[in-house]
Amino acid sequence: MAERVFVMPDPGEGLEEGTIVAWLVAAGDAVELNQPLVEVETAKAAVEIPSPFAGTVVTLHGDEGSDIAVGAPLVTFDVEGDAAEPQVPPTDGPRATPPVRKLAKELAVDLAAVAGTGPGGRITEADVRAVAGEPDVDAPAPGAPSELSPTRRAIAANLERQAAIPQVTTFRTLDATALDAHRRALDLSPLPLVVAALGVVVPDHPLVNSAWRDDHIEARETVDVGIAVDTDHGLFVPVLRDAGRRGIGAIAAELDRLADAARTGSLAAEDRRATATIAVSNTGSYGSEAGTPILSPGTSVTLAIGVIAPRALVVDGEVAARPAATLSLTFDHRVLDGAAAGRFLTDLMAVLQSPERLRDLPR
Amino acid sequence: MDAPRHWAGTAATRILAPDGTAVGDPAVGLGPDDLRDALRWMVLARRLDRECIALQRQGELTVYPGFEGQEAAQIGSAMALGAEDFIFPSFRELAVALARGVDPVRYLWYHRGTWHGGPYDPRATRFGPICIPIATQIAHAAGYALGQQLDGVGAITVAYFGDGATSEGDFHEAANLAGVRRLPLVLFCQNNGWAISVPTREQTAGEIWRRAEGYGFPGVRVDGNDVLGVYAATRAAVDRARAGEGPTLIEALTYRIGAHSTADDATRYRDAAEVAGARAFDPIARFGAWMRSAGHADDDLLATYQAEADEHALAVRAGLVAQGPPPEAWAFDWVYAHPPAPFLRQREEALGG
Amino acid sequence: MAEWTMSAALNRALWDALIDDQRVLVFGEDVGVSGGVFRVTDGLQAEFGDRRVFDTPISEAAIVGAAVGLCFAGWRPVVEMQFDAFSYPALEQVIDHVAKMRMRTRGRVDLPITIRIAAFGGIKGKEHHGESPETYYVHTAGLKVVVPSSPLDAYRLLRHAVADADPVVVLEPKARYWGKEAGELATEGPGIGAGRVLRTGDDVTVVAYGTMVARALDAATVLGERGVGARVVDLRSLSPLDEDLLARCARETGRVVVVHEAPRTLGMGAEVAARVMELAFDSLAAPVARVTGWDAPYPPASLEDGYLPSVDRIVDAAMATVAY
Repeated sequence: MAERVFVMPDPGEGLEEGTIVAWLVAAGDAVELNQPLVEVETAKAAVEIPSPFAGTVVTLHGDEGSDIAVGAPLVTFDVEGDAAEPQVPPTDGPRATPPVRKLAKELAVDLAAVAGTGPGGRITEADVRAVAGEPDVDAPAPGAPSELSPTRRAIAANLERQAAIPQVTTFRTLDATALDAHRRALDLSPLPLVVAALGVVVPDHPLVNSAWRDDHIEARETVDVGIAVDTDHGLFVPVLRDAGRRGIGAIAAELDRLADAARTGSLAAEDRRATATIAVSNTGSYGSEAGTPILSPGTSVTLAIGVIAPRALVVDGEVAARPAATLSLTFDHRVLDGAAAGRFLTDLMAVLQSPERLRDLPR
Repeated sequence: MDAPRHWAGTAATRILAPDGTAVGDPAVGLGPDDLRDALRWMVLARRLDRECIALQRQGELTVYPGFEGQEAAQIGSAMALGAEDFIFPSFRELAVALARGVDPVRYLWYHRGTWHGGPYDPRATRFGPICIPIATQIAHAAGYALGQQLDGVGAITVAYFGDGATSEGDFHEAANLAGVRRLPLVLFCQNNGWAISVPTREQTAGEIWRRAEGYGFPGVRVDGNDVLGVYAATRAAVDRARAGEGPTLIEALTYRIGAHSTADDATRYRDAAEVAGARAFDPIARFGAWMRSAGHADDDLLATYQAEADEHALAVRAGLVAQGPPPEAWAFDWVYAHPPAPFLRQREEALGG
Repeated sequence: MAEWTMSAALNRALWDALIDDQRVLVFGEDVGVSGGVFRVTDGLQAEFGDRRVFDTPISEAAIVGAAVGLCFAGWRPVVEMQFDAFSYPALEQVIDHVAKMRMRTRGRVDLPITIRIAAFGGIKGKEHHGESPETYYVHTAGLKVVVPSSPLDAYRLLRHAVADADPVVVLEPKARYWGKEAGELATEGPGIGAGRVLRTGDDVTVVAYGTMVARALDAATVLGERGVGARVVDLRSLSPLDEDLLARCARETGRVVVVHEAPRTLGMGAEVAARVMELAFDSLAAPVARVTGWDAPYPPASLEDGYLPSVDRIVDAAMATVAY
């Protein structure tokens, strides 16, 4: 059993309060979903409010004849653990600017729990980062250096959070003949082609572009690809936004820009703050055959591409030397299962192994 | 029992009398499975409507416009359409949307305040965005019908609207245009007796179906609580339109059992006795009675439909309450196909990059 | 070199758009057989047939509303509102649907509608035939709004408007329909969102659009005779506004005068002044001056000249700004 507080909803358009006319249940009563709880009179109408839960009434907040503000507790229930938690209607929350709210959302910081140090008690970016345990990127560098740089500590904290996620990695061998030929023809590394292929394939597999949000799975509309970039200061994952709308050329240019910026420490605030919907790690760039990538924040899958090198593949029943690479896909098992991950990899490989479909990728 | 006051005047065509006895030919072209589907949809729709009102009272929906009493008008008309036909609804057509295969959770995003217009894909479902500005959707329907006519594809378009909409200029302009160009369009008016607090008799002094004559096309008045009558009338209008014979105006006489919306208190302007009287004309009871007498349904089947409807309503509830607010970027993301630079700067200002 | 009136250039733009894209439709009141009251659609119905170019009943809301529905069916409508003040019955459709439908459908339906409106005064017209409705449209998020000032630019802007995936309101200055310009019609050049500098000068920037551009150029000539170098900016695109150009000119000249026929309050001048203040405050040597129509309804023909910004008023405002 769990306690749930049902707050006074706005029964009309923009009403601020209602008067309790009559309670239709009493503390201790067992109630069903949608059973009338209370009759409330507002400036617009008299309405019966039905119970949002099946459970037991613990407390009725307010006596008959008293006024109750929209958003104030109305009834406290004991409900079975699996009852749906209704969302509290929006009320005046803590003061923070939209960018700070956005940052808080990204870092999963509850603004209600943050003490604001800004003007008028406004919550600042530094307040949020402090609660999240992240360094204030715009703050002056901390005084005496410890052995760990702020970046390294932030990375470690992130990794720890990510490690708590039930994640599984699955592997496939890619016949990279077509991919290698095509990328040589375009004089590019394989990465922009893979990213472009993701832009085409991911929309058919919404779960790989989703995020676990504790009470629901959030599907995203655009494919924003986080690209793991190794730098002298540690690993960065800048985000290439809306891969589905870009051609290969634009993707390659943007990848170069992001990688350069990450390496020179000049990533713009918007690049740092963007949230990836899916992530890619080019483990092949430092020679690894295969990686077991860790999920990036906010993503449900991370794809790693191993080095492309000749391997003995069975082609039409014959062993042949072909350029090949290992694709590793780490996925959040809460969001998708092995079959869904497999279907996605199959579709992705179908593009990457087909000269025609590679040619058809948006330039 | 007296029929609702706005049903007076020219007798509406009907196939089933209010007690469920057939007064016309029930062979309207619906087979036993279709007939059962009609009943099932009506039961499902009413149950979902009631769940939505509860969800609103619980703070899960913002404002919700109920449609109880109008199930036959909506399901009967929706079932007369082909898959390629396109609907432009107003804002009270959840039952039509259901019959059309629109995901009700997506539809209800609208009333949850998650998204405006068509949270579902209007092109894929062939069900246009929910439309609040009264009668404006009728002009969209005329335009879509014009486009279909120019393309010569043979699909027809249906505009849904209420009695109040016929007082708007857009109704007149669109109906007139449809007449002039003989558009493949069905103008489907659910006259439920009330436009918020104003009764039909204060909305218009004539009978709505008669307006059609002035536009040069036929108008019909049908008992909107008789699902077979509504189906037959809509089917005839659809066939006419598909044959290139132009538009039809259908006035379906029905009754709004609930308030205009959850933000409205109908007891301020309407007697409880009127509502109680109208319940005697309930469309589901009427059709259910006939289905039993015709041997198409029995108590077990009705219980099954009710159980199915309960389960469906709870599934919609679960899907809906799990829906958090959309990303803040959505406030900007689809305003322009090619967003101008100053607009993108504002977007950045609002979202923090 | 060919010489074009704005009416003929707009006609040619529609002609070429109808050829280039089979989904383009042209409709409105009197656009068919008669060719439009300003002859902008002359000959189009004869050439392209009454399926693609047709007359409608006098129903502005249905014209624009039907255009919305046509977009759902994949068409690209170009509609005409015969006169500025007669576009108002369609405002509900424009504001509630044309401007918002793309967002409402989360990008699933584009609204490539072009709404042409014969607008502004200066033709000694009847009541309701001389209004400046631009603020209503510019203030509506989701629309783009352009105003050509010359025949060649009118061709370019209308072609860009028809090709744009977003809805564009084209306000055609009816006092300029019969003005001539020599040159080749081309779509190349500044598109929607870009202003253009028509005359260089370093002392003051005069910002105008539509009919007022010619008047601003005349004023610049007078100012030149008085030793003041006036730069003339033709805004062309009222929404989006070329704020980069405005900021640059304000920084380089330090003084800005903005001219329009519309009443002063909440006219484009207010927006231009605000952007200049936001983007170039430290460069300003004088407050931005507004030379506009008065906050009174558009007057009868015999009083029109006193209402519209004159060359003298523009010169006076510029001189006051320079002397500030």
